[in-house]
Amino acid sequence: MGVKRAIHPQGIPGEPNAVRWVTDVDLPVGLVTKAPGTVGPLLEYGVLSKIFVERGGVWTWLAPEQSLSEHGPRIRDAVAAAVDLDGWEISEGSAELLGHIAREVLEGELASYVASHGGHITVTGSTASTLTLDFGGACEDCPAAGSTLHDRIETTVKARYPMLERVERVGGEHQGGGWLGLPVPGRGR
Amino acid sequence: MTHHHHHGAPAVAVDRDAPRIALVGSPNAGKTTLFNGLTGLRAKTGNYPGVTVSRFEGAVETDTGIVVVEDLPGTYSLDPISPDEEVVATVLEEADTLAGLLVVVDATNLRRGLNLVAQVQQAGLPTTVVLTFVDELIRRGGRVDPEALGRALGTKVLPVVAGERRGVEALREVMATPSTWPAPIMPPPTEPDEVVGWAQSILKAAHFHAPDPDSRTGKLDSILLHPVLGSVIFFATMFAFFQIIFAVAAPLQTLIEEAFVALGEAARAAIGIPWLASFVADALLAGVGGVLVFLPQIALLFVLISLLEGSGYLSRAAYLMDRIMSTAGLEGRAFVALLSSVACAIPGIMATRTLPSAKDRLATMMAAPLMTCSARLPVYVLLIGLLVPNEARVGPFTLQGVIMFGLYLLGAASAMTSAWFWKRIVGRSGVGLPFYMEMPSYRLPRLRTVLISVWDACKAFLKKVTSIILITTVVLWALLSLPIRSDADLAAAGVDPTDDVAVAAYTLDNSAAAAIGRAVQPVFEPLGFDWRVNVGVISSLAAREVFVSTLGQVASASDPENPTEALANMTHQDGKRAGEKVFTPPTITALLVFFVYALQCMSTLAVMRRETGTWKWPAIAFAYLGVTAWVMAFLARVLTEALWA
Repeated sequence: MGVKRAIHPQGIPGEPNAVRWVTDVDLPVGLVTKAPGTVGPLLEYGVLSKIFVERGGVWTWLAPEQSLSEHGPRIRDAVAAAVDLDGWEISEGSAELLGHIAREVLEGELASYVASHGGHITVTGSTASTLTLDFGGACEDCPAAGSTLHDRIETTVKARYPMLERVERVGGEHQGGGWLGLPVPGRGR
Repeated sequence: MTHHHHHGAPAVAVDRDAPRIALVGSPNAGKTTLFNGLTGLRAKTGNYPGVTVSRFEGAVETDTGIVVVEDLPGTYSLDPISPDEEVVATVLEEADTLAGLLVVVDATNLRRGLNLVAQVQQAGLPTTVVLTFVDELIRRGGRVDPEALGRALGTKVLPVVAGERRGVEALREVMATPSTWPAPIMPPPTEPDEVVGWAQSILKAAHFHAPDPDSRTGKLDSILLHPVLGSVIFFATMFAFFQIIFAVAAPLQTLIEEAFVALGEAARAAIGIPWLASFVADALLAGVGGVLVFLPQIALLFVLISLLEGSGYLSRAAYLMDRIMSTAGLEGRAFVALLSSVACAIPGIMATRTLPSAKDRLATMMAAPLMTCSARLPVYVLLIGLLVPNEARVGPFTLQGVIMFGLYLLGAASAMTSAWFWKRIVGRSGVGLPFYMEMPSYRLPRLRTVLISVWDACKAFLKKVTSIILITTVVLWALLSLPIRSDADLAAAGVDPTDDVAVAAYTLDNSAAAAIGRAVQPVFEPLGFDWRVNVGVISSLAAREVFVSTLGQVASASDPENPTEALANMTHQDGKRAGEKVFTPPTITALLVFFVYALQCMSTLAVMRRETGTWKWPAIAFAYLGVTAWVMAFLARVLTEALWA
């Protein structure tokens, strides 16, 4: 391999035990049930309690009694090495993972964008293929909320979770609405 | 390479209990500009690439009170190769004294900057990244998302554009509460190849696109870094500068000089007590005032230096000189130290801390005092003024400026020779480490930085004038005026006590200083100095400018109304040259050359002692430069006499 893989850890607000390892991954997206390399034992012996794979990263959860300062470098090396190996068993699609990704996108990458629209968007639910959002704040009355914001969120999340089929909005009569609340063909229900 | 005058010790009396935040960053990352922006005029650091030497502190007012900012030396990494980087590493090891760290990263060099961030984050201190030159990055077609960078790093990332208050204000706000800064969930890797992968991943997450090479800089560099053309331009720039010193500063200087003469006469007329009148007029106004008149030249010198520095040209000069330096067996870093010595040998000697090799350090330190420092400027201007008239020209250039340029060249050439010599004596150092110096893009110098640098230099000069120069001048005044003669003494000596001029001349001639000057006469006689010049030379051991104040006092005592003419017409009073003029071309030349070589600066000796840890090296430097000064002055005299005849 020579040069080490490009990888860096990212913390997740509200999920103190979770680390999102940002790196190029060519694996199915979903919950990991069996992992190759040294990631396998970390999962088996309870250092890690849960692993997800997304497009462009691996999410790991430390078991409650473990600390990142102790295991961080080992997990990083294990993940960096394992993503190039065969032997992954992944159950494709996960409502939980989709929720995590959507929250991370809304609080990170798109946070200032959403804020610039005067809104506050929260994830209220997810299935393995759909995402339900609450467009709070000014978005409720914003005619553009239905298109610009909706599209942007969907595209961004889908880039990391390709199985996403639909983004739905809870409450409000503007559901899926386009310009002046008119229905947009091909979107929503 | 601006004048450093707070040596080692904290720059300002800052609150000891206030939280401390340190600035870490590579040279040229804009650390000094940021520091100035945060602290205003309350503190100062030099900002020649690679030479932010000693530690500087400044107070920053935030919402929660005063925060002390410490500006650490510019460094590319925390692996201590040079003493300078050691300073940074040590400060970070003693991390418990710090509330937080600000890492200043140049956005156009983000990849390398991340290496430093990775190392700094190992310290486990609250860290915030300050991203500079984002405007330049965008102008050159690059791209970065500071927010995404912050998420990837797990820290706050604040873009700050020089000259815009907004960024600095945001930073000031953030600095109020270092304990609340976000921290990465785990420190970055430490293995070099892992750091490469980590940085690459961070850059991708931050949507970073490297900037295109700066076409403006590239075009300019193809000319300015050209081995022949570049060197010609460099010397032409320097040459033009010394012309400017005489063309622009000299008229200003005459004005100040006339003002002091007028003040002196007014003081003499107003003060009834003769000795007090003499003290105020001769010691304070003629002596100290005589040095003060060179303020315009000092200010001009620093305007030029900071313009060259702020535009990015000085780094090119160092690069050009690196080739010449290598012939002396020294690396480019040594040139940076020598170049700093043009302001003052003290920062120059401290800048040798960037040299990894102890042998190179010593050799450079021994050579640094030979570079023409700003303290020599008043002496040179005075003596050159006596040597050739204002109007004398060489083609379109003033002869005075040409001579000044020549003296700077002589100083630089001698410094090179000396460095080469000492490098031989001290012994060979191992394989030279590659000299790594960044060429910053050409930038418009910031007016604020230029002004601060000039103001700072003037302040330092005024401080020197009112401390060491004032004290030496007062002591000299006492030596020149004592013992006080009674009318009976005067009558016995055949002097008319009512003739003030005759009394002054008699007192001066029979003073304690005259006795000292005459005692060392055998040493300086071959150079053509008389006892008054001897006293000037001896007193200038404290600081070179005192030479000017001593001659000012002597001249003012002989002819208060026209001291300049008195100086020009001064004659030898005894010895084999009795009756001849003192300031003949051979004597002035000898004096000029003497000042090129002699180490007449107590502060320089003290700094050498501190940097080498022993008195041995300052003693050696003082001795070898003293002997060289005498020999070279003698040769210059002989040569001038031969040419003059």
